[in-house]
Amino acid sequence: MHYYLAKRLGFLVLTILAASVLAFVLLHAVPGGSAETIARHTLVGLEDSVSDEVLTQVSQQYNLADPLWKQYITWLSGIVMRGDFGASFVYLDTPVASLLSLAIIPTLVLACTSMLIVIALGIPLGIYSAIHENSPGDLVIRCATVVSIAFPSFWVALMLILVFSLTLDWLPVTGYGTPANLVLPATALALHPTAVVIRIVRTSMLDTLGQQYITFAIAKGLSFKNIVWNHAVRNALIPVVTLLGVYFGHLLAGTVIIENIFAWPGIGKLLVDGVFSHDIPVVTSCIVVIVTLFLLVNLGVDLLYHVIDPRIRYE
Amino acid sequence: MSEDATAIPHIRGGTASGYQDRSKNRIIQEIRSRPGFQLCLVLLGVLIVVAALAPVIVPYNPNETSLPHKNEGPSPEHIWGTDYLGRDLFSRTLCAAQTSLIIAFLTVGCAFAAGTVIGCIAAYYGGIVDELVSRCIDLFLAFPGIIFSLALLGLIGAGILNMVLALTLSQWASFARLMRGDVLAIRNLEYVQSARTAGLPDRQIILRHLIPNAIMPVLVLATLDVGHVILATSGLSFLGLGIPPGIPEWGSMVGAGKEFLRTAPLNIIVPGLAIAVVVLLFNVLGEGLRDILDVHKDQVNIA
Repeated sequence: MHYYLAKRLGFLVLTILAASVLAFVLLHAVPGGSAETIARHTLVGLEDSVSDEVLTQVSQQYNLADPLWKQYITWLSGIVMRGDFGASFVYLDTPVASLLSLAIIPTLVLACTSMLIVIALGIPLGIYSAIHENSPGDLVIRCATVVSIAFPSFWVALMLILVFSLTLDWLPVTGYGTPANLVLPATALALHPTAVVIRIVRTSMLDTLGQQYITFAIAKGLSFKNIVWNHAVRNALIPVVTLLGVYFGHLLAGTVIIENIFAWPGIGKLLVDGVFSHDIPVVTSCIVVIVTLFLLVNLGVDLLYHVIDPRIRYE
Repeated sequence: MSEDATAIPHIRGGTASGYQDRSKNRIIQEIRSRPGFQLCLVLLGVLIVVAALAPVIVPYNPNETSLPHKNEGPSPEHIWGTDYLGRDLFSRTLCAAQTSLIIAFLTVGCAFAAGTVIGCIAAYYGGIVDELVSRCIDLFLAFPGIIFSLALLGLIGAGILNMVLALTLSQWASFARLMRGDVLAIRNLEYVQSARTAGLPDRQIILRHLIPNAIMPVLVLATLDVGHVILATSGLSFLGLGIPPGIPEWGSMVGAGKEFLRTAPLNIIVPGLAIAVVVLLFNVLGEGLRDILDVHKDQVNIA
């Protein structure tokens, strides 16, 4: 177990490093990372010509004259040694680290609330659907999941705003801080993963109910309730747990769009704003943070696996 | 599957033709017994024809603005109304189908081709090649959802091909992973071994034996991925990334129309419904194929 954990943590660090190299090199190698672009986006106007003095100044400030690998080492050692993600190109006096620390909590609040919705709706509805296979309730749930997977989340978000904010005036459109602000974005974000989790729980539950030990339990004369809750559910939920880790990643990615609709001050909004203003340090750092969160959650899920299913032995 | 394939008498003759004929009959029978799937095929056929002919058959130029007629509701002239610049929503929605389908087909095609070849090579050669490719797949899968495409697209700028490139880079890894697993499962089966013993070059073994026999789950994934890519495209263009101005696209129509959510909700409702219908059709197709080809459910999951 300790060996397994050490190995997993090693791979985690390596993957994060590799992802940061990929993000850094890719984003710095494409046109847009040049001193000229930075100067246009920050010091002078987009259409203005950039003087040589400004160019030199920008180049020096961001070490742009160094070869790419050296820039990467400087950036990485700043993160590892001092938690310094570099300076933003756009917000001139703000280090990226403080932008990130302001943005990470809102994103986690949003993603975790959505995850709670996914679990609270997805698992019971999936179990219901499996127990009552082919009943009208099951058919309604199955149709609803197939249809809701097809709708883009940004569209659902706008429809929720149209109905609950603009027409009924129950909930605020944008803003951050109160639970009421959280309802619409979390719902819109949770829709896809909920539908997928319902389907996975249903399939897994039906598989489990077809197993021999269930038949044996029925033969023993146990009540249906007893069989479902004590024998089937726990085993049926094991494959679901791994997928929850993956869907947490999708929630993180989904926040990028949802946060922009609801002006939610999280990583997703920071990332998209950074993309539009060509603020490469912000973009690279946001990506590294999102990848790290995603990998950490997946590691946690894998470890949780052991708790739920003692049959699994780590090697 | 494998047992049938080993029964072929002539190894050098290439693909498992006898097996394929039999399975073709079974597939045709399966399709015959599924009216819903047939309907889906017909509708997809109609969709593709309409999308291909869209610029010719639409009643208005999709980019022709007419400010006096902006944000109008449905009328005999404009059956789905007009957008915030007075452009005909029906014409724009139809033309946008072409944009979405071109991007989705190109992306899935590239990701499918790259993933299949890379995954197959990794599994067949094993060793250090496999190790390198697997780590590379893990690396790309560590970027959740559209994050990678988003960052890349923001910097390389708008363009249909840029969009395809950015999306392909985020999609190929799932194809490669699936293909690698499939090939690993069959690479030591007797018919592959005997092909190797018979002296067939690696390229022929990969092209004639491994790829045809491991491709089915990957094909199902590709079909399901079309819907996924259409959603990703619309999400990116909703944010204002990837689609150059002047090309109608559903996501950017919603993105531009969201300022008029209260006054002209049709600007948003129409393209959103169009996305949903098309994605639904491709998902039904993919899931139908999954059942018909009897691919195990765990292997292919919609992301």
